[in-house]
Amino acid sequence: MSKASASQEVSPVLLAVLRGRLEQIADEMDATLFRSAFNPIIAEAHDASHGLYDAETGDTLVQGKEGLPVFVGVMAFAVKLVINLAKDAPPDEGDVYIFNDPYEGGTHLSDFKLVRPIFREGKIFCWLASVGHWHDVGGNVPGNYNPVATESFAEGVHIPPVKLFRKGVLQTDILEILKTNSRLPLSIYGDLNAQISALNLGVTRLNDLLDDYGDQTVATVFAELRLRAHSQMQHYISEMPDGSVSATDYLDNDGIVDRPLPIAVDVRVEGAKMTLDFTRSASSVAGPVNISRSTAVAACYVALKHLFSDVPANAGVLDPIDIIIPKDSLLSAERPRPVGGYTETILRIIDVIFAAVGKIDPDRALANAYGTINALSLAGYRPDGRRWVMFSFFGGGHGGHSEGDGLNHGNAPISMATIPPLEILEAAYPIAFRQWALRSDSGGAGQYRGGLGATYEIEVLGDEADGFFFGERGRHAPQGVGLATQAACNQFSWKSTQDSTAERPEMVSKKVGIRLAKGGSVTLETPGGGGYGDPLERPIQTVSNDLRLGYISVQCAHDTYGLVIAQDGRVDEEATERRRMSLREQRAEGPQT
Amino acid sequence: MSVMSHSEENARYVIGVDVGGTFTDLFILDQETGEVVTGKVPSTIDDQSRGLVEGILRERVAFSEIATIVHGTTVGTNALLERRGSKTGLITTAGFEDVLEMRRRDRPQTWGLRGSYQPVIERDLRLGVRERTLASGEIETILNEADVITALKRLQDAGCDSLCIAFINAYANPANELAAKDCVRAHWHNDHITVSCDILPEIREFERVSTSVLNAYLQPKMAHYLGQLKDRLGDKGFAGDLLIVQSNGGVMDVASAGSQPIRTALSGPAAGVMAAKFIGKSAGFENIITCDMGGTSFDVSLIAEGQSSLAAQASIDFGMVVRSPMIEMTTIGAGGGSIAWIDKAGILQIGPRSAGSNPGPVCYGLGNDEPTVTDANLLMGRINANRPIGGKLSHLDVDAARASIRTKIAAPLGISDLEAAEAIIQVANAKMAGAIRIVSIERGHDPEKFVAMPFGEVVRCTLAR
Repeated sequence: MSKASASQEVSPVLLAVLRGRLEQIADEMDATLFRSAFNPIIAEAHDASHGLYDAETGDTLVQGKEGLPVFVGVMAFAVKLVINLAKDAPPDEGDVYIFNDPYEGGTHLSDFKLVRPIFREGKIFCWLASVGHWHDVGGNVPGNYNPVATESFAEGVHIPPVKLFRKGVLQTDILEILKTNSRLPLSIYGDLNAQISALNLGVTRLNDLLDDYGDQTVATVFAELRLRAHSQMQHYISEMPDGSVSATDYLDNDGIVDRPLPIAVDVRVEGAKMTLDFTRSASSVAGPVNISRSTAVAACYVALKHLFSDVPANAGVLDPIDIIIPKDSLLSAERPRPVGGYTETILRIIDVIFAAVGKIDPDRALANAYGTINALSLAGYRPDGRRWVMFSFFGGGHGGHSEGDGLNHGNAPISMATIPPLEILEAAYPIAFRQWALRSDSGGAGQYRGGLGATYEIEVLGDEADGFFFGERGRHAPQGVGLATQAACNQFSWKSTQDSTAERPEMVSKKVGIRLAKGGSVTLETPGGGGYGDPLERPIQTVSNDLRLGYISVQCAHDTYGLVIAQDGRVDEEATERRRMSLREQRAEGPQT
Repeated sequence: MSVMSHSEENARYVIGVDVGGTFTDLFILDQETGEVVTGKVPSTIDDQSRGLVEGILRERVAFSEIATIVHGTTVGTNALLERRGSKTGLITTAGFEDVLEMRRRDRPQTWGLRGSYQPVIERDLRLGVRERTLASGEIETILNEADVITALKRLQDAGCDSLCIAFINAYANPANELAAKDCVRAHWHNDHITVSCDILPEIREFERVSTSVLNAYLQPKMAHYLGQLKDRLGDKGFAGDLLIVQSNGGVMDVASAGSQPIRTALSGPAAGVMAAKFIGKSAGFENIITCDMGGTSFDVSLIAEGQSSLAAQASIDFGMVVRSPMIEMTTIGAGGGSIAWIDKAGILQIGPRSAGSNPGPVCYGLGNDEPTVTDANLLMGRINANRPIGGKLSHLDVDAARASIRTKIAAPLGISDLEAAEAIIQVANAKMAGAIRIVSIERGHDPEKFVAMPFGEVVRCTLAR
């Protein structure tokens, strides 16, 4: 931690005011980048993040509120990488580092990180960092989502940490290397400038703040905020019973070999400490679902921030947490293992942490969300020979929780991105949606039901098209909490022509090179969220309402919720209570499921 | 101020009325003398027209001598926020009945995954019919009118009072929607029919459906209110023009407001910004940041080079998206009624929860025991306890305010009551200053080039220092 220790007295007023002022700086950096970035992934989907980081350790001090959740955890590693480098070659004032290394710095090659030291009286006071998802960074596939990559060199250009600015002077040769390695040089140039502006603004604002309040006071507040987050986490952990719980879930496959990949966590709670041990998870694989250790730790951070959402967003969250990941794990991949599909793996890490916590602290627990990014692309040629490529991520349901049902059709826990309107997609590409609807019975049953996933059906209007699909949860459904049931699995199918029979991928949730003629179509049915608690405890009125609204089928209402419908079509409450009673008895006698 | 045209000779007054959540404010211009009178009466939330008429009566203005009344209303805003619109049915393209409920695949908060969303039209009242228009505007499937009739029957049987028609790609070619409108007109039991291509002939199905549905949801209520208002004013002898302020700061007549009530979604705050723009210009300021501090929220808006900025859309609540031009505004929960609390990390926080105007701050004595920004101001002596504005309450309870600040804030933080009150105000001010900066930066302006113009129900005590 910085020069000050938290033991020094900070007035509660100053703490509250400075906390807001510091968050404001990161928020203003976010706002600057979102406003001035060229590519819609940053400008519209806000796939970016900013923060302030500790001078010596790189630990997160303050994060913006609007940035992409997964970056919040990963940026500390990016700054640490620069700090290690700077040990041998200390930076000057006005230096800015740039890189996209996904192994030390986290996530994937599309995410470019800029890191800049803040000097006060000749010494580094803290670091500012900016990360943004660039539109194209080379590699075999435009947009860099290559489902059959077996090395990260096929996913994009690798840039190690280098100085983009030296003493405030832009190194144009580095800029040229970056531009030359992208299919969209103008786009990445615009994004880069926007990130530089965000950092400049951060420097100005932070210096103003330090001048106003004094370096020592602000350093003390940094330390105090971290201590508060730390002690708050400790407090929550110590409220949990001591002991060990485990949860195991699976990725369908890595897209290269069709074999399930376990992601497993053993959670140990001892007093105010928690250990997340991922030793039982799969080893690293040939296909692009590997992640680096830093990405895995960031995923743990995201899971914990969702479970303990009122804890301030700084490194204090992870202070009482030990994370164990063995070498050569799927979760500690090293160069050149491909990492392009990192989203699927970190979503599963979040799921197993949710599932394990559900076993020791049900009130706090969240059932699994839909758990896949579902990247779907259709591409072809227009009559005039121009190429068209439709690429989008699709949504699903959120998990039930102790306060209510899961949200229908939400975005992934690692992201705040929205889906493009179907009318925009139809206007831009020769396609027509035939369905854009909530998917009945896709949410897990429970006292609180999982949110519903969706059904999207897309028909090709042009002469022909190629498709590729990268998803997960094809064989292993999102889990519920307690006696709740799991959600429905992801289902992807296509018809090559209007009249041909539906086909499904051999790899269940991944497919490249789908050939579609005019009138051919693809259908994606996404998972809902897992349920929460005993379905037999869900009020009869609520179940009957779900049935009326078509959220659940008659069969699900009867089989899982025990709802009995009389001859006149009304709910027979007495018969339902009797049926629920006998279902409970069967459950007590029968084998544990 | 230029005068609206009015043929009657004895048209003497122009009146501006802003009905807020707590107070109804009047601005009366006597065109003969150039004299201006302002008035303030408590709002009558159940029927805003009552307070409005009472306010005019109190100022002894002859209704027959009023040329124009310009009315900023929160009837629409409140009905949306409190979900008190009418039971509404939706007829839409088969296969796309869930667009309203699926939104743009978002969630209310970044962290926690505990959000939920309840659309104003539930799934069983959103009915699909066979029809399809392509993005090119080509009608691929002509409207199946039998489907429309069947859907209408179901919605009527279910007790719907208002109807919305919204088809995929209707922005590109409204033919199917218009055919459905004709078909519906012949069978629906009232005038409350909203068609998406009339409300928002623009690409983006969710935004168009949502805006149209919310319009339909408000129609019966707004039409009823405006009818009542016209009657009340007419009974008193009013024969002038009644104009309703739109969310974009312009005005429209009563008939338009009745059929397109969604255009009034931010009517009240928009009127304030327009006034600030006019006053600022008169005083020689072209770059203004307006700060409207109400009972529950702090609304910041930007006027650059004499122009207020327009936003294309706004969310009234999570997933309640209204896309129609409106004065751009950033709202933060730091109004007078915002509640001060200590979070689990022991840090003082203000809002976003608010005590509103009812029960309101602790000092109102109406049942709230959580300290608010107003309570802190009272304790600091910035509000006169014996002369609260607006005449709704005779006095404010300082002791109750102090007790609540003591137990909820001062004691846990280990500081004195006055220090706690000061802290609450400081944190609220920091939040407001932050909102002002974000608003200007997001629009690409340097906040240093702007002057702040505060107004609103609570501002005089909080910002005046």
